[in-house]
Amino acid sequence: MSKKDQGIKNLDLFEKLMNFLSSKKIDEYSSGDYSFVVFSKKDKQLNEENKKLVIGLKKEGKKVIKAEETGNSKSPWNFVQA
Amino acid sequence: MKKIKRIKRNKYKPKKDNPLVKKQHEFNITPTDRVINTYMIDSKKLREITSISYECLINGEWVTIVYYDNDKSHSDRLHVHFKISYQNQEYEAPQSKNVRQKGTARRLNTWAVEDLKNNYIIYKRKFFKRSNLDELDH
Repeated sequence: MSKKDQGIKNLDLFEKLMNFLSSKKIDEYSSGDYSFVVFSKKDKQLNEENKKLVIGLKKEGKKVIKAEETGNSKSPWNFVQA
Repeated sequence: MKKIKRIKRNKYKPKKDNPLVKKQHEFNITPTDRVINTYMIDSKKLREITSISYECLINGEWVTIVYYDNDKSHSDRLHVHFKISYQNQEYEAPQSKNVRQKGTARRLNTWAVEDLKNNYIIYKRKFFKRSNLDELDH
C-alpha cells in the first residue's frame, strides 16, 4: 500500500473517530500527550501498515493509543494503549 | 384594607454557562504525516475549532503545513492558513475563499477533515515546491 493510500484511508477513519471523540465525554487521552493510530474493522492491509506505524512511534518514545473500529454502533471504538 | 394576594411566579433561572474545556488529539496517518485536532468543548457539544493542523515530518521535525480555525478572531468563521515555506515559518494571510465558513462547529470540523482528505497531498506538494525541498526524501 502506498503512503498516499494509507494517509487517505487513515483520514477517513480519523474523521469518524474525531466525531466520536468530540461528541462523547471522553477525557482520557485528550491532553495531547497521546498519539492515536486507527485500526479498521475490515481493511487488513491498512492495519498491517498501521502496526508498523505504532512500532515507529513507540521507538520515538511516544504514548500510543490504538483506536480499533468495532462495528458496534453502541461503542464504535475500542481504545488500547500500545 | 383588603389584602392583595401575592401571585407566585416562576423565578427566572439564569442560563448556566457550561465551562469550555480544551481538548487536543494527535492522529498519525503515515510515518511522516499527522493531523492535530484542538477544540473547545462544553459538557454538551463541540463549540470551537481552535485548530485542525496538518503536519509533516521534515528533517526530523514536525512542521505545520496548513491549519484551519474558526476562533473568535475570525468571528467563528472557518479559515485556512498556509505556511509560507520551510525557510519562512510565517503563515500567508488567512483564506476563506472556497472554504465552508458557516455551520455548527461540528460541521466545520468535518468539512476541514474532508478538505484535508481530498487535498493534503496537493498542499504538501505545493509546500515542498515553495520550500525547494525534494518530496521523495520525506
